[in-house]
Amino acid sequence: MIDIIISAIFSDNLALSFFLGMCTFMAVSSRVETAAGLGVAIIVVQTITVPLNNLVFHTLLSENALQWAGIANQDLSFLKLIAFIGIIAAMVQILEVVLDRFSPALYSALGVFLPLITVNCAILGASLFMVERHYNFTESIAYGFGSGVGWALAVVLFAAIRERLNQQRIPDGLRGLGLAFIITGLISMGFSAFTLS
Amino acid sequence: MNTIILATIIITTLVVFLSLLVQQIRRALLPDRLVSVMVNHSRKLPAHAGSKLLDALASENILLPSGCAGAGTCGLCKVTVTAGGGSVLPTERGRLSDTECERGVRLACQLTVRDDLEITVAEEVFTAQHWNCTVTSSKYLSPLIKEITLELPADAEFYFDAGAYVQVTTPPFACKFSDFHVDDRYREQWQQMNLSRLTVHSDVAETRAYSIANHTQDKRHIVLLIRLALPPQSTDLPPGKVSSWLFSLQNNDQVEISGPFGDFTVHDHRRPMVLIGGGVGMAPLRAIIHQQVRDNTNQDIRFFYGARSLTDLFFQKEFDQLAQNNKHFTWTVALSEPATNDQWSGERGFIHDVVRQQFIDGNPQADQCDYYLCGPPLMLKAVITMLKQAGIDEAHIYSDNFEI
Repeated sequence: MIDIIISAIFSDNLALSFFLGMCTFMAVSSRVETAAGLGVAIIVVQTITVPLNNLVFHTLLSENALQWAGIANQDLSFLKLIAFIGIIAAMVQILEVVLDRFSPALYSALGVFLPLITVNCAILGASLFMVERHYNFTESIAYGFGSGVGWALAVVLFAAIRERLNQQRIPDGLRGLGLAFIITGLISMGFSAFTLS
Repeated sequence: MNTIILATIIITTLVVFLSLLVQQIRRALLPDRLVSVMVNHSRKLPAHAGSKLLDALASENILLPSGCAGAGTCGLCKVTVTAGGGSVLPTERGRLSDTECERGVRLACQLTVRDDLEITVAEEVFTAQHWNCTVTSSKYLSPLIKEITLELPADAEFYFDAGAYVQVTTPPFACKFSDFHVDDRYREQWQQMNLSRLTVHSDVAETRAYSIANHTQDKRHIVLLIRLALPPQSTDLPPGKVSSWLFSLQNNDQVEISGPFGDFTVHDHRRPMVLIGGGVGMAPLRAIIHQQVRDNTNQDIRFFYGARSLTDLFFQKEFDQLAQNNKHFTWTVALSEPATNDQWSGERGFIHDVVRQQFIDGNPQADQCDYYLCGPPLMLKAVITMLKQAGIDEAHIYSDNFEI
């Protein structure tokens, strides 16, 4: 359990070792405050959707999963992509409504990011890794949480560095996304050191 | 085969189930409740919680200007929120300055109404109305500029201040430039520019703002000057949607109009006025000139107008006559690129240079005048820079910006 969380945060970081969710990563990292908001939203959505997708996958889609309904020898795992996206979209919508109802403050902080998350490939990526690595239900909770924290950590770190860079004099050719990508590469090299031990 | 059927059943059931779930939860948690929006401390309007402020106001017939159909990109639907509403969203920041954010200015199209709100809007918004007008004439003034006259529905009357603008909303449409009626005079130029290859379509209603060019006392008609917005040559970009649609109109076609809006009106009726315009920037300036001349304000009015060549110049006779009959009005035209056969003996060059040479340089009265500018963005920029360099106080420069 702890192993899965730690490795999902550091050595298998979705943003920095798999480069997933890059467009949101680049777009919402100009200020630490907004990056942190997005990070929290990602953690919440990951922790909910990965286990849920795990449940759906094992009861409906994986090989011989439908034996409980009396249907044998059917492998519907090719449906996982479309099913996962549907579930993620629905969960994000529900989360939006729940926040709107019970915590208007949190809603106004996270609300604008939730629709962004629906189409974020890091979220879908985590669910697909969960299948690939044969996690069971509890493991997938841990993995969802860990990968969310990892992505949030990466985006906050990155936003902090970019905030500092805004104060610096940067050569024309490197300004904006040019330098942003180079920095992402450097942080990712740093993170890859975690895999060695 | 079995797999396909099974997969279809499972995925359909899953999607239907999820949609129903979201619907039910939404209904259970966010019941339709009414909140109130207090506008300008005087009118209290009901609004459905969860709707956008722009839509809530529109359903109560308060029409805020909006050019982007609620996408948050045009920045026209600004309102000042005095109570409620939460903090400024990141989606609004791009269109609001820091001072505006501090003053509580918000974009109505982004602001979701959750609880009771108090807002202030410009008074003119209350008087803005909405009509389906009929095209009564549509004629070419230059190869790419048309004068379109719209008639209001029977027994409607339109009151506006000179310099105001209206919003034109198109239906979803598709049109081909090759179908346009082109004046015989300009057919050659159209062929040269190879315009008939262009097509334009829009799947949604589009809204744009156009200044009103006619006399304010004509309460039955709205005259618009439309410049066909063309893409830069050698690109595949589509031409301007609304201007193309307006070009395609023929007599008796219907046009949806709302207005009047805008604060580009005469601010002082005593100080001498200098009006500087270019292209279809003629429209609001023409309305202003006619209003001031008719009201006999005894202000000196100087009108500088920049055009590329003689074919781009219109209303020449009208202004010549006005200048002849009225000792307070004078006008100067400058051509920046007169054609070789134009036989032009007037001013040449860019309008900001001409204004400087003719009016600003060595004129001790220059800082006693009010300056009204309207025209293409580049021209406006050049004129404003020139005026500031000449030491004209910014408070006396009024401009109507085309850029949205």
